[in-house]
Amino acid sequence: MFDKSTRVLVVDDMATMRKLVMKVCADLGFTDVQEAADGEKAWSIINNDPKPIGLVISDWNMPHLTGLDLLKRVRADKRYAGTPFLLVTAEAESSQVTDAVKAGVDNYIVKPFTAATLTEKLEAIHKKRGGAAAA
Amino acid sequence: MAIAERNASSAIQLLTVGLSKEQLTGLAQAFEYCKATHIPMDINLLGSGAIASATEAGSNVKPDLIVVGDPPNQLSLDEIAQTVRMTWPGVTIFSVTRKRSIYFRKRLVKNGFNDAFLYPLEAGALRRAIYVALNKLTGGVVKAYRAVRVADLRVGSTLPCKLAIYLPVNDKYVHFMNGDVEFTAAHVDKLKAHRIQTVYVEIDELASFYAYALTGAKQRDSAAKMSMSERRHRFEDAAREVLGGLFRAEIKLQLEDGQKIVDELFSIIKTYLLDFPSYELPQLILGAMGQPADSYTHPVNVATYGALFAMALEIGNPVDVAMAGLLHDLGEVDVAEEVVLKPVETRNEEETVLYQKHVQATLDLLQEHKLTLTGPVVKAIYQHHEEPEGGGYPTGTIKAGLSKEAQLLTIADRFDYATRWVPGQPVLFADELLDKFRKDMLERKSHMPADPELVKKILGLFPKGGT
Repeated sequence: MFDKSTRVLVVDDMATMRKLVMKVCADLGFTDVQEAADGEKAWSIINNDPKPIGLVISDWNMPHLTGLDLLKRVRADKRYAGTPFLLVTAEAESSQVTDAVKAGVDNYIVKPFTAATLTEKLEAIHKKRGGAAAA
Repeated sequence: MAIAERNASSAIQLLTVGLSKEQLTGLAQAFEYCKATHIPMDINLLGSGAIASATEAGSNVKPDLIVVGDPPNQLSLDEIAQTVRMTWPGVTIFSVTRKRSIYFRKRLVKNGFNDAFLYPLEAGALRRAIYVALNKLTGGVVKAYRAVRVADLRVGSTLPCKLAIYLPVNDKYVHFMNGDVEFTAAHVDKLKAHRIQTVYVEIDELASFYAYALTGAKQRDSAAKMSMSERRHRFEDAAREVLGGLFRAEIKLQLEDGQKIVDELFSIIKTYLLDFPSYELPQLILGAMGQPADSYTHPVNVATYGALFAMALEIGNPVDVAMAGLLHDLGEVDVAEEVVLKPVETRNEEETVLYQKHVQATLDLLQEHKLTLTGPVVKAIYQHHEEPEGGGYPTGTIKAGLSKEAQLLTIADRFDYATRWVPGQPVLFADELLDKFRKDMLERKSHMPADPELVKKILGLFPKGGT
């Protein structure tokens, strides 16, 4: 599983959902969880924060820059290309997951989800990456 | 945990979020069994875990049942569904919305609600769902009922389950007879004396009632596949499943999706409406009369009456009439609710014009959903408010231009309005309801709403006295 000191970035335009996901991350033991209200703000944090982001959990459907476009931007930049990325999708978007896979997403999770489901998804990402965080 | 295991301080915790005063009033009786906590629609309160500050007692409560009302404009119901479900993973959560444009039941259920209801159309279904939820939460202490046909009861037989009756004035269910007891002529007399045409069975005893009623149906016709009560319930439930997905016009269906919906409706009609022994025909009509307008009762009733009239008179295609009956008022979603709910005679000129647009709106909605309907179905929907002397709408077509299916649909539509029970009105016997229908159709001072000869033929289907 990810090291609990990993800096996690939660991206969602809905404040309540951000808080919920951040709470789930805190419940899983993560001690450094950041938030952003849309893809552009998330990119700004990824680019400018002195401590690297070790895991992005991003909603799909957001204004200014969608989760998918944020993923593409992260993957296109050599500095951050290896950042583990989990997309959070609504049921209506699940048919678009293939686009996300093509863009290099590590995994996706359909909301609403439980802490147990999020744990499974993160463990799967961690295992797939050989047990080491990219950042 | 059953209510008996709870102590006096741990009543069912019902949390309502953002419901209007009218909605709360409408559900007040269900709340009698619950300690109800009402909080305004501030979804941030839910996500932040600050629920404690919103409770009456000022202490943290875990809700047993949650009812969520209309979202503020900046929030989507999908997001609210996801948030509430993530906050309370195992709790029963219902959505109650007045906004037909955002109501898409299947999608809301996928996003986290246990069920979703369009208010006030589905007020009855919501109430039943709350009672079913309370029934489970209290281990059966709170009863949930479903109406069954008196015609399914056999004098001299032993009923496998308890029966209750509904007192409309008190809005309460009361015990009528125990299970494992003989149903006698005295019971029939008692029901008749109190003008009771519908009895109620507890939800968890419904299966045994269906089996009992089917035994009776098979005694009359060995090929019978289900009782009248079960057939009616399945028809209502199936119609709700399919029709509930048609209110949201923003959903762009493909041609095959529309065809699938039509096929589902056809299958529902064939299975639950047309496949019955012929002797049941008058009972099927009589059994649907005198019921309160509830959920999808109107389209289901109109489909039932229309198809049965067509079959009995051998006029028109029963399947087309039934299909048109199920779909004929969908366009009302585009008419302001207060106009739809107003009795026609109280609408002003502007409201009348607005309401009349529902006919074209129905056809537009069906076209948007790519429902490939037959010509007779489309024509019946388009003409169901026309009148033989040309005084109807939308085009004022006279009798010669009206299809048989349209004329039957018109009569079935008016038959339901004339024979349904309206809260506040006295309960009438079947012959009184038929008389009411006769007067509405044949004794008007002005225009005739339908061909009087056809109306008379339909009235002639019923035995004298309407029984």
